[in-house]
Amino acid sequence: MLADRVGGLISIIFGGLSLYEALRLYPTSLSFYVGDHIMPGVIGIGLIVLGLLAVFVKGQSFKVEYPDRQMMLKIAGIFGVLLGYCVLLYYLGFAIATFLISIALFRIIGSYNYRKSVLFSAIQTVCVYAIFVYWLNMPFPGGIFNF
Amino acid sequence: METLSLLLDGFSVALSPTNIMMALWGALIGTLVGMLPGLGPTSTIAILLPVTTVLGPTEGIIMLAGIYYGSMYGGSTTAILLNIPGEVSAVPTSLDGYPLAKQGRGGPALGIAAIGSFVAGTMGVIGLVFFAPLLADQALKFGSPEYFALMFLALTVIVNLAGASLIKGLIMGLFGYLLSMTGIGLTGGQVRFSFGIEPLEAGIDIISVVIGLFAISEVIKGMEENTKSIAVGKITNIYPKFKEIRENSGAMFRGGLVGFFLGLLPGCSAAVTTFLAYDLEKKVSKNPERFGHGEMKGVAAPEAANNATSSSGFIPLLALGIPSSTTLAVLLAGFMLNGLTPGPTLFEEHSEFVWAVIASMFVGNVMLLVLNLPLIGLWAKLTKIPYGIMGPVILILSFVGAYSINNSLFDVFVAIIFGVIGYFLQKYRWPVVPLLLAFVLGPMFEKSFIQSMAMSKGSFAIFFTRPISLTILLLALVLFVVSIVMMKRTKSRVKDAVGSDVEITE
Repeated sequence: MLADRVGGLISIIFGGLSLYEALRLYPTSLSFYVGDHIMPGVIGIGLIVLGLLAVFVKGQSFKVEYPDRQMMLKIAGIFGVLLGYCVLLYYLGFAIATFLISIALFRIIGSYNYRKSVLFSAIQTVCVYAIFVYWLNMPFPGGIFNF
Repeated sequence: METLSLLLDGFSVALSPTNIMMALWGALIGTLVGMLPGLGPTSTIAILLPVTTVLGPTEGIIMLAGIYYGSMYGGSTTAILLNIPGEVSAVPTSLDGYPLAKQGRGGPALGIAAIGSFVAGTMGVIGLVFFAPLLADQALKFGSPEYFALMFLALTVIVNLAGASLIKGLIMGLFGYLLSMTGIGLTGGQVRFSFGIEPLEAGIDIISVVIGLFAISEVIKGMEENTKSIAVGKITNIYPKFKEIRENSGAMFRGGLVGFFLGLLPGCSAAVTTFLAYDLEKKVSKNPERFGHGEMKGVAAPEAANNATSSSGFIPLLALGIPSSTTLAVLLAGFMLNGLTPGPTLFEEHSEFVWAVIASMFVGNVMLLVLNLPLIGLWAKLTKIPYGIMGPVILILSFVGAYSINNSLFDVFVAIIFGVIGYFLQKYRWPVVPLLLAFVLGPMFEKSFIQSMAMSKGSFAIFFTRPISLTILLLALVLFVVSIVMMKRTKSRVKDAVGSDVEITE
């Protein structure tokens, strides 16, 4: 299967990187078998050998089905929203960022209208804030509003 | 006697109000995630791992252990009432549980499943009390070569649980190992695999990887499959008659024994033991033709095996530091996050902690039985929560969980990246379990190998000239062959039961 071959090639690339690290670290080692280089070397060789096997040995054949375009956009949207959460958390703080991001997630995953999404998001934010910030005292960024 | 005295000390800690609450929370959360689609015990434990650093190790691990064995109880409900086994290990339960539900005996079947789980779970914990310290005591004699052999055994057998392709499983294992090497080297203190990226110098945190691979990608999968909430019909009487309990006590006991002893073997998951317990019960039954058509023993035996396996898995985990399933591997990461290294020294250095956790498992099992039987109706209602609500909740908790590890957005970023990777790995059937196990065991493997090599001045003979090390290596070879046979057999039984190939990677 083509995908397995691609996976094999990726394995070979990672194996090469691992071997490169082993060679880079070798001069600082105590002996051939004792040092930080040995396992990167072993893993590198293993990944290359197994990668070659994945490329050349005929593997299991199966059909990979992707969802329709709309669903793929939704999936991409979720990852985008999660990355956006990282940015918003830094600038707007935990509470506001969680509230805004939750609205987007309820809209995308549950396809709820804005009213319901805002309501669910408010409940979720209050619960998460109460557990992690108020009860467990976990430190989150306060953002520009310090909230 | 010393063991019993230590256990009593453990009870004095486990029965403190805080620890009772933690066991209760763990048991309830575990039951819930065992029933709900889209959130398994592995992801739940991973998300909640950082919480343990706030709660304290004893309280935190008591809660996480509760989630683990609580989920074993929860899984039977949907298998019996709806013929939806959330995990492969629940498939045998559904074979007779669902026909019983169709005959209007779903309530008593759930009751028998809960009682069987309690009996076997308690048997397993009793075994844990006596076996684990014994094994840990023997393991104190281990040096680096023995540890290397032990890690080799764990990795060899567990990687075998890779799924359809051994090559893919091995590649994923090596990839997991490679990820675990990121950061400061164990012997020379050299920075490895950072490629000039500063946050990578501290290494990649396993919890971020688990949250990405198991929680985030699972939400995407659930969304793609348009996971519906489950509508369970009204459940009437859940208390089986005393006669039924007596008739099924033998099945519970046999299932418990199969689950316990096979669960001791690394790589022998509940998926394997439940099928073996079911088949054994069918073989010893005077009416084997009733199996598959609503035989109560067909529910009692696999449910007992399931819970006994979950308890006995704690023996190699606590005594040797070897996780026998994915969930236990994440739990192992939880120990490490709290500065505790499972293995023989754990019993000596953190005796109070170990015995409190073990005692809490007795407490948790009683709680599950006492609380869950009357609450089955309530749990059934909770499964109606739509996925449109579950998904965002899981994602926000995943984000918070990943951030809380080191209060760093880099860990969140890693989780998101592994969420994407996990999605494609699932699509193209690259198993993620070997990656996780090799990630956890990798550093111990490397440390013991390098120490052995330093001891022997580079001679590999050290592994074959020491009796314990040689025995473990031979055992690894035998277990490798045995587990291949057992996995093939289980795969064929699963195929017979569900009509298609299923990846058994629990």
